[in-house]
Amino acid sequence: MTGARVRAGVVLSVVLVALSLARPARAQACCTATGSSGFGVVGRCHFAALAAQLAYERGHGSFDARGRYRTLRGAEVDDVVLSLGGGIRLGTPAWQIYGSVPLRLQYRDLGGLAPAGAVGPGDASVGLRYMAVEDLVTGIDVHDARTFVPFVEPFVGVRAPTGRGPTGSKTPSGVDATGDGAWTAFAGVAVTKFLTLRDALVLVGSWGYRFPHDVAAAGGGARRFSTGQEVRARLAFVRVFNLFWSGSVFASVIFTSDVAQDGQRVPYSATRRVRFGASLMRYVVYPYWKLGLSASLDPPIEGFGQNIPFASASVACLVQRNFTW
Amino acid sequence: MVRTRMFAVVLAGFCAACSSNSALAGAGGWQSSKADLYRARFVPDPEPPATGQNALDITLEASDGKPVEGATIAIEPWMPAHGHGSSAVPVVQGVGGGSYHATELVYTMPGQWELRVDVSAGAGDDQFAVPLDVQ
Repeated sequence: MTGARVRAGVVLSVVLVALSLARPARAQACCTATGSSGFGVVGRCHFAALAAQLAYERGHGSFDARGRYRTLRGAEVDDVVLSLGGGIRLGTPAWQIYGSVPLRLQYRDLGGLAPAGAVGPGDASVGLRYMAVEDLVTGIDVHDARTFVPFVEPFVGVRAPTGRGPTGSKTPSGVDATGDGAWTAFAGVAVTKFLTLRDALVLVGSWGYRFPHDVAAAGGGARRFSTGQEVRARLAFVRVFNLFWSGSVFASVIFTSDVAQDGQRVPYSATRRVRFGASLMRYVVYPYWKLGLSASLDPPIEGFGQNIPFASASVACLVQRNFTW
Repeated sequence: MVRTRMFAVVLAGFCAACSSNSALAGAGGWQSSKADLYRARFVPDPEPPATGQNALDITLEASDGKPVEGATIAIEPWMPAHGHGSSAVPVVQGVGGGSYHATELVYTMPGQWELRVDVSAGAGDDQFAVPLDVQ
């Protein structure tokens, strides 16, 4: 075999390998970005997904009603949260149902009280989403209007008070309060736009209505408590490095409106929470098994939160099993 | 570089709603009950109040300024913005001269709390609402 034939063979092999990887790489990018819009959400080219995430969260401070940040004084707040979730397509690639349920292990060491821990379910959620519009996943070409079209996925869902609400707490420190104590219905849209073959922006916005509920009053009877409405937004930049690796950085914000008690608005009760984070994902068995590592933080900076009792930093690891068509 | 700058601009937008509220009341001064039957002074211990176990000193007077002794006082800590209180039940004891000492005041988280203080004495039943900024 001559040197020229060897070189031709090598070039041909490289081309064949590149061609064989091109479709999976594009599919990986597509699924990574569309699947990153929520925990348990099924990526575009998958049929179903199961995910488990273990997160450790540590409180570092709080934001008061004016938005001032203060470090925690004489208090230690640690949470470990195991979230189980997943989703499945409903007979068609466009529709999927998905959900998650957290199991919370909480620890509180508050001044003057005995340190205490408790474990219990958090608030579970379930959603339905529809892939209304699809991105070509080619990246933006200024000469081709079709390449500006993003993935657009409207969704609706509910969050159920499967966790113990604060008013149901039986412990002095409230360590066993693992949920909001109210039903929430939400609707929103996830928009994913590939800027290039490897880079995508993911914007998820939603509006939620938290249903009123009764809370017990100390002197007997009940108070009608309305936790108002919430608006959530999350912007992520996703980079798909190669067939196996991807990473993202994100910012999220949650606003809730003033609450009302027995029909009376409670002043200065609205909340705001701005959070930043980053994640790194790796397919260990493409396209079925994926591992992830992420970190996020409530910045200890005035104005980045309001009425947030426990601002925190967290790290999480994720394992996800995807199922293909 | 341009992409980085764009991302920074978007992130800054998230924080654009950062605003401050007008002043919130604090504890420590004299205040009148809702029906003006009593006046009282509430002094948290520690001051400022902190997450966890706390106490409270109360000085109670009738509307004419005379100390009120032997009153029955019940306190309910409440977090108005979150719609919950505390599972611990405060204990109030008279120490003489119109002064009372409350213990077992547990605040489970930092933030704006309110003490709902029910007073029952010779002049009748009345209530105080004492705002607290718990740190």
